[in-house]
Amino acid sequence: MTRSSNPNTSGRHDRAWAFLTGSLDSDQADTFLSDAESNTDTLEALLDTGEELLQYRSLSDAHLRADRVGAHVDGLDVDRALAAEHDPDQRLEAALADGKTRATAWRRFRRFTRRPALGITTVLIAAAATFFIAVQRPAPVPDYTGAWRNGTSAVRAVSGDFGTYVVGNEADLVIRPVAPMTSSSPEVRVYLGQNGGALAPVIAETELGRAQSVRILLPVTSEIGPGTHRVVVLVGSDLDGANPEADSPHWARFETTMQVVETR
Amino acid sequence: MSTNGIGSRSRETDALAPATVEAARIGNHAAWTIVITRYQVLILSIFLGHAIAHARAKEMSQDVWLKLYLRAREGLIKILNLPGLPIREARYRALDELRGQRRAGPTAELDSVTLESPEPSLEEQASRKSELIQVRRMLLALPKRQRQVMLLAAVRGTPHAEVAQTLGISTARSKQTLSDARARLRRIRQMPAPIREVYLSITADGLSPHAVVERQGISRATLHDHLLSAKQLIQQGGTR
Repeated sequence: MTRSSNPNTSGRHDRAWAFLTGSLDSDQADTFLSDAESNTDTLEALLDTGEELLQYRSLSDAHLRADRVGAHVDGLDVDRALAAEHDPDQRLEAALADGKTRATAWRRFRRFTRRPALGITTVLIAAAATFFIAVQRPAPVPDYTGAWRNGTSAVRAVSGDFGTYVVGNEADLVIRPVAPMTSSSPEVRVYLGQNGGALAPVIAETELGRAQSVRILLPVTSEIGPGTHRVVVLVGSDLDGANPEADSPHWARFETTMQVVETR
Repeated sequence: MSTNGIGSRSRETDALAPATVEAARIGNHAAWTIVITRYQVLILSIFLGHAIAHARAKEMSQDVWLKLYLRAREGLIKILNLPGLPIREARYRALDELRGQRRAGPTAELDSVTLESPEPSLEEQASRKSELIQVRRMLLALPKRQRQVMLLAAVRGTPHAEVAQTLGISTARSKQTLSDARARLRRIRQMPAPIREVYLSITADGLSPHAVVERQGISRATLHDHLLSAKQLIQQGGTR
């Protein structure tokens, strides 16, 4: 058995797929099989492709899935997931642009500070900034930390698996500011991104606690459905026009994920 | 070693030991268990790939193995080509099934013979489950048209002619899009794990860069570098 010195991975995997799905005529199939028997790369492509085919089919075939992974696996609602409208390349470009903007701003500052004539100016600016920060009161909207709550009789989430719910539960999230807040009654908005989809505002009950914590009670309806959903909470004094995807000094943004499964 | 970079599961593609093949050729039961363990996924995938329902595909796979084992026991196999022989047998049976000509499986006096396909271990099941969840995420990292073709052709097993009709494209375009999608999925699989994780978090899960930095415990600069690497790896195969 030989190993090809000029591997054409994509071509081999395409031919393996065509072979396994019966898309090759008899002669082509015989040629491919002879190749697989004499060439390790082709055999490897065939074995890989067989495993790949079973993985894809098991996403849509519950019996095959049960045979391969044993217990029932929830949250694999492929139809719904694949109907999503998002553009992954656009998401990647947006994330790269976000990083580039930050890096560019930092590089400009570094260039600025390296200019010899501006050494004194830089020192003065740094001193002024330090003084300014020192006399400032705490930021009006601090960051929040938070966690899903679980297991109470009222909420009835999947026992022992925080952040995992079934339809009919009430997802229970508590977030707390990491520093004191100046606003005693901030506005709270909750957004949900279903299965990797865009964030959309949802109606959720919110309770402000004594230590300025916020409890969010979100009914897990059949419209939300199974899957992994992003949950974003904005807290601020004025959230009109707020963008839930963006950070801002005007609001605190807390993001987490919630898992909805089909059965307990 | 498989090119599937997800999970810790690996599969040897080196030929079986000559002693094992020879033992199988003369009908040794233990040797056939090793052979089946190695190639059962491949044989089942031939039946499923030919649009044969799962229950029937399982039955036909077992028939293939049983027939070969019994022939070996009777000393009727002079040369045992693996995996060529079971593949050819499975392919002929699949084509017969599609033509409506079912071959009778081994019955009657052969019923007393047991040749069970080994069940996957709990570790293997957990590994496959984790891979399945990752595969679903990776499908979400495909451009919309590739995702649609993957769902119809690869996940559901719909023939390309029907896929083309449903999506209003040519059959050739459907095949090409499936090829592009599978190539892109292979490139995602082959990414180093930390790069793949941030790439899928952004493109499939739709998390913000801020959330990814928090969740992964990495710096903004690292995130940016990982995403840049992911973009380069994806583009290595073109952007069709």
